[in-house]
Amino acid sequence: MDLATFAQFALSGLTTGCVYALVAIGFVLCANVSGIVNFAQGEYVMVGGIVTAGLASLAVPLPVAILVAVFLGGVFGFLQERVTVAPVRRAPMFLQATVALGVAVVIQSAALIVWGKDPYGLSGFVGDDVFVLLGAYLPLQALFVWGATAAFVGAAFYLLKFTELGRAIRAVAINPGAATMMGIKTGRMSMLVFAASGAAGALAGVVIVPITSASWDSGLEFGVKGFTGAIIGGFHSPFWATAAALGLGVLESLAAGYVSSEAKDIVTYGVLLAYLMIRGGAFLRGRRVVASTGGH
Amino acid sequence: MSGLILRMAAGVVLLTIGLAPAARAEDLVIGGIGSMTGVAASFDRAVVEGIQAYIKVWNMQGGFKGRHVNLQLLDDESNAATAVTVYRKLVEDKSVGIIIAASPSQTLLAIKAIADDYRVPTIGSATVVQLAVPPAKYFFRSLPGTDAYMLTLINWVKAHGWMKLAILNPSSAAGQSEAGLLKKDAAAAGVQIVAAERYNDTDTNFTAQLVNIRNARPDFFYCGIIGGPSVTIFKQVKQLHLTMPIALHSSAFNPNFYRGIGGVKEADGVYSPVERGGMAGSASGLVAKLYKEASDAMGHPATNLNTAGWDTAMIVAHAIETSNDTRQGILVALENTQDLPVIGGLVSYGPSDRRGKDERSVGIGRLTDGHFVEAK
Amino acid sequence: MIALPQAPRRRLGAWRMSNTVFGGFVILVLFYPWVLRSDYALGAAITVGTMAIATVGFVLLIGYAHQLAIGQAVFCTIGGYGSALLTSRAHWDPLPAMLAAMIGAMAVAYLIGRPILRLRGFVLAMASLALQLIVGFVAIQWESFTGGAIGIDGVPKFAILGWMVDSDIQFFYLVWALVALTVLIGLNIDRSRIGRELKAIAGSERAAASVGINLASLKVQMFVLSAGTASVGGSLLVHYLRVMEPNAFGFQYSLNIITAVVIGGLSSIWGGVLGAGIIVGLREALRLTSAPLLEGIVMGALTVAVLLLFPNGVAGAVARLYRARLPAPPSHSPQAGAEYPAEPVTVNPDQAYLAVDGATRRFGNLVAVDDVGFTVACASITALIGPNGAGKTTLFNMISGDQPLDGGRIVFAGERIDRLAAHEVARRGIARTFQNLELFENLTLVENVMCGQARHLRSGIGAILAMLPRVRREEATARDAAERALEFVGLGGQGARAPGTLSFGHQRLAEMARALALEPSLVLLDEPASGLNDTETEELADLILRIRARGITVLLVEHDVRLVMGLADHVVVMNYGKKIAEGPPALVREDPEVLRAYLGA
Repeated sequence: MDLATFAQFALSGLTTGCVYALVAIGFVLCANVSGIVNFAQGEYVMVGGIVTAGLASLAVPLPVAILVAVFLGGVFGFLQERVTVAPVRRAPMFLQATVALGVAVVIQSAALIVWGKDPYGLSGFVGDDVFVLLGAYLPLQALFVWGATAAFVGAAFYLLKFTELGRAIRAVAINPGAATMMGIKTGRMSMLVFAASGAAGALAGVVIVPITSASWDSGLEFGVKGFTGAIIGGFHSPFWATAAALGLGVLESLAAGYVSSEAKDIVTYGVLLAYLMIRGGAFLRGRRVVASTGGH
Repeated sequence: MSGLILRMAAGVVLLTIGLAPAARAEDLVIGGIGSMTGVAASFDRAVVEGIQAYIKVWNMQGGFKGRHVNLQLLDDESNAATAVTVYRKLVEDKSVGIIIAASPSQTLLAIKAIADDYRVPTIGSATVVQLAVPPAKYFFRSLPGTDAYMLTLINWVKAHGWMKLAILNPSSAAGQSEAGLLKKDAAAAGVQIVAAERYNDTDTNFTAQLVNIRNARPDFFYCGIIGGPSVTIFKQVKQLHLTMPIALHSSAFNPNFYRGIGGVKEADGVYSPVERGGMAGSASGLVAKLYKEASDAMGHPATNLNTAGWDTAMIVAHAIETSNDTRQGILVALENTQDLPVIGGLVSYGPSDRRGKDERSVGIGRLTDGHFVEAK
Repeated sequence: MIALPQAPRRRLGAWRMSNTVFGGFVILVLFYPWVLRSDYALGAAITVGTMAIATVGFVLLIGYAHQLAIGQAVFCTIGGYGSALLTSRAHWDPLPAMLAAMIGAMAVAYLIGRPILRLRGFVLAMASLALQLIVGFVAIQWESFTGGAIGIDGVPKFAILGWMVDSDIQFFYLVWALVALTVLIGLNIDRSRIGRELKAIAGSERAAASVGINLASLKVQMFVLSAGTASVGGSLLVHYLRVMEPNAFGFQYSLNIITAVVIGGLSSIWGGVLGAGIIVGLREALRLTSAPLLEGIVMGALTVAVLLLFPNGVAGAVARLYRARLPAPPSHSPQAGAEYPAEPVTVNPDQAYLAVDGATRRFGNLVAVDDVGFTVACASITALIGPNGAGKTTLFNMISGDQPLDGGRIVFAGERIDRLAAHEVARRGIARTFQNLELFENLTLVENVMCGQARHLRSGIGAILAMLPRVRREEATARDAAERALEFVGLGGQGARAPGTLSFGHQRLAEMARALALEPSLVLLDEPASGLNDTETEELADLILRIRARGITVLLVEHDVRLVMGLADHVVVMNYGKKIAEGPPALVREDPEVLRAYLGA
C-alpha cells in the first residue's frame, strides 16, 4: 500500500464525506429541535446542485446561480416546516417521518418536471484543473467543498455554543417544554433550523455539483448517507454527526479501493446494519440506556 | 356499506381505464412500449424519438396503403411489472398487429417471457444476448447483441497489439453482460484483463476504481459508462491522469454529456464500439441517404440511439408492407426478413433466429468533433 | 338514567361493518373478471392484489405498531428471489417455494427486528432501508447465484399440488383469495388482544408498559408478520411476471407500499387493500392521460395532504361515516358490591413485601433521590409524602420501572426488580396509576381495563392466527373480569364509553380499575386525590380501603396530607431527595423536621 494511493482514496472520500456531513448536520438539528426525522434532507443537496448547474446552463452568471440555489434551499426548508411540520408537531413520530418522506418525493418530482431527466454537469468554479496533495490528484473544486463545509460547520458550532440564539436552540433540543416555559419560541426555532438545514443542504449541492453532476434523483444517495452519518454519530451531537459522516465518506472510498468496488456498498451498509443491531443489543442491558434514548 | 360503494367506485375507475380511447378505425395501429420515465428514460426516449421520426416520414409518404400509421405509445416506467400490464393493454387492442418495445433489458425479458402466450409479434430494441437466445417465437431483437459489440472491440484491441485491458462497467444488466462477455472474449483472444471494476449509477465518487485501473497500467481502457454518472466519470478519468487510449460505451455520448464535460472537443479521440448507424454521418451510399433522412426528420443529427429507434421502426414497416397486416402475417414476414438494409447495417431473422443484426453492424468509432468516424 | 354521550360499541360495530365490507369485497372479486372481460384490467388487478398482500401486512406494522419501515419491499425481494431460485433452479413446486421464501423473510425480519425494535423512534426506518440496499446490492453482484442485474428468467407459472394455475383468470382468483386470507389475518389480529394492546401502545406507551404489555415483542411480531405477507406478495408477482430482477421491488416499490397505506388508511386493515387499488388505478389513469411525469408529484403530494388532513386515509373517512350511524349501545345498570378480584390476594404477612434500599437517582448535578430506604409491609397502606420537588414521584417511577437507579436496590417479594423494564415489573404483579391520567383514548373503557389483563392471557399470536377456540374463551373471561373490575370501582355498565366522555374523577376510577385488572399484589397510586373534590376524595379513600381488604398492598404518593393521615398505616416523608421521617401517621405528624419541611421554616 503506497501513500499516494491511500491519500488518493482517503482524500477523495473526504470530499464526498463533506457533503454527507452537511446533510447529517441538517438531520441532527431538525431531529433535536423539531423532533422530526427529515427524510427530505438529501433533496436539498439535489436542489442546490441542479439549480446551480441548471441556471448556469441557461447562461446565468455563476455567483447569481449559487445565491439563488442556496436561497431556494433555505426557502424550501422554511416552507417545509410551515406547511408540513408545524401542523403535525404533536403527531406521533412515525407519522411526521412519513410526511417528510412524502415531501422528499414531491421535491424530487418537481425537479424532474422542471429540469427533466438528464443530469446537469458544471465546470469547477475555477476550472477543472487538479492539484496534488500527498501524491493524490484532486480537483481544485475539492478545495471549495472543504472550505464551504469547514465554514458552515464552524459557523454552526460558534452559533450553537456562543450565542444567545444558539443557547435557545440547544434549550429547545434538550427540553422543549421547559424551553417554552422560559419564553423561548419553539416554533420560531424550528422554522429557523429547517431553513438553515435547507440552506446547508443546498450549499453542499452547490459546491459538489462540479464534481458529481446533479439530476432529479441524486438527492436520495446523499440523504441516505447523511442519515447514516447522523445515526452513527448518535443523532444528538452535530459534532459527532459531522465526524461520522466524514468517516463514512472515507470508509466508502477505501472499501471500494482496497476491498472491491463490487462490495463497497455492501460493506458500508453492512457496517451500519451491524452497528444498529449491536447498539440495539447494548440497549437491552439495564434500564439506564432504554430511558436515555428518550421518546418523541 | 360505504366501503362497498368505495370499492365499486374503484372498479368503475378501472373500467373506464379499460375502455380508454382507441385510435381512429381506419388507422394502422402499431403498439409501442417505451421507458419514458424511470431509470432508463434518458436512452429510451432517444430511441422512441427515432421510432416516431420514422413513422412521421412513413406517414408523409402516404402511410401504409394510404392508411395513417399511428404509434400507440405507453410508458412502462422502466419497470417490468408495469411493462407486462401495458403489454396486455396493447395486446387487447385487436387492431395492434405488432408491438415495438424500447425499454431496458430486464423489462424486455419480462415481455419476452409472456410474448408467446399472446401471439403478438413484438420487437425489442436492446442489446442483451438473452433477448434472442434462446429464442421466443414472437419476440424479436432489433439491435446487435452485446456479444457482437464486445467481440468487435476485443478483436480491434488485439489488432492494435494492446494486450493489457482494463474495464469499468456499471452494475446494471448491460454492464454485467458486457463485463462477462469481455472476460470470455479476452481470454479467447489472449488479451489480459488487468483490472475489472464496477460502479453503481447512484455513486458519486469513482476515484477508487479509476486509481486501481491506473495502477494496473493497462494498454487500453474500456469504460462502459452509460448515462447517469458519465460526465463525472469522464472528468475524473482526466483529472486522475488516465492517459492510455480509452473507449466509452456508445450510449454515453449525447448533448448533455458534451455540455457537462465542457464541450465536444474534450472527448475528441475517444473510441467507442458503435452500431454502424452511429457512424453513418461519415458513410456513403444507401446508409448515408437513410441517415440524412432520419436527421432531417428529427431536425438534428441523429445519434446512435435515434438510429436504433429508426431502424426498429424500419424493420416493422418492412414486415407490415410485405404482409397482410395480421399478427400471423407480420410474424411470417419478420421471419422471412433477409439482409434488410437499415442505417445500422443488414437485418436478418430466420425460423429460429431472433437476433436481427450481427457483428457486421458493429464497428469501432473514433470521436472527432462530436461525430464518430470509423477508427483504424 | 340520564342520556350520556356514548362512545360507540367499537367491537360490535367493527364486526358488523367488516362483515358487510367483507361480503361486498368477495362479490366484487368474484365478478370483476366477468364484468370487465379485459386482460389488461385483469393484469392490473393482479398487480393490485400482489401489492395488497404486502400493504395489508404493512398496515399492521405502521398503522398498528407505529413503526415506519422505509425499505419494506426488501421482503418482496426476498420472496421474489426465493420463489424464482427455488422453482427455476432447484425445480421446487411453486407453493412450497413460496412458503420457504416466506419463512426466510420472516426469519430475517426476526433477526433484525429483535435487537432493533427495543430502540424507540426511527431506527427500524434506517435498518430496513439498509437491509433493502444490502439485499439489492448482493442480488446484483452475486451474478453466479442470482443472475446479477439481468435477473432470473424462466420462472414457471404458479401451481398448487401439480395443478397448474394456467390462465390469468385462475391466477387472479388465486391472488385475490390470498388477499382475502391476508385481510382475515389482519382483521383477526385487529380484534384480538394483540390489536387491543397495539392500540394501547399507540395511546400511551408508558401506560401500556405499566399494565405489562411488552412493546418490543409486539412490534417484532408485527414486523415479522408484515415481512411474511410482503414476501408472499413478491413471490406471486414473480410468478405472474415469470422473471425476477433486483429492481423489481426497489426503493420505489417501498415508497409505493408506504403511499398506498397512507392513502388507503393507516389504521384500518382495509386501508391496505384500498390503498393498493387507489395507487395502481391512479397510476394507470395518469399513464393513459399521458401525464406519467406527474405521477411522482401526485403521489407525493397525496401522501403529504392525506397525512396532514385525514391521517386515517380513505378507509378512516369511510369508517367515520359508518360509525356515526351506529345505534347507541345498551347500557348495563350498575351492580353494587361486586368484589374484585374475586379471590383475595394472599401472601406471607411476615415478609417485608417491598423493600427499597439506598435508592439513588441523579440528573446531572442534581440528586433527585438520595440514598432512600424504607419497607412496605404486606397488605398495608403506605404513603410517600413530601413537599413539591421532594423526589417522591421520581422514587415512585424508579419502583415501577419507569426510571433507572443510579444506586441502591429494590426488592419485591424476595426478588430484585430494580433492573427490570416497566412491563416486566408489571408482570410480577405491581400495578400503577398515573397522576396525569394515562387512559388509552383510542379504546373504550372496558377495553382499557381489559388491557390490564394482559399478564393473564396465554394466547399468543400463533393461537390467534389459528383461531383456536380457547382464544375466544380467554377473551370472554378477560372481558368479564374487566366488567367486574369496573363494577368494583363503581363504573359498572359504563364499559362501552370512550374514556374522554367520563368526568375527571371517574377517569381516575377507571385507571384504578385498569390497575386492579392486573390482579396485582401491590398497587402504586400516583397522587390519586389530585384534581378530585371532597366527595370524590372520600369515595377514593373508601375504595383504597376496599382494595386493601382484598389483600392488596397499597403504596401511594400523595399531596393531600389529610387523606394520608386518615388512611395510611405507615408514612414515609421525603424532602430534597432525602427521607426525613418514617412511621405511623400520628408520630410523623409531630416530627419537627416534617413540620419544618411543610411550613417551609
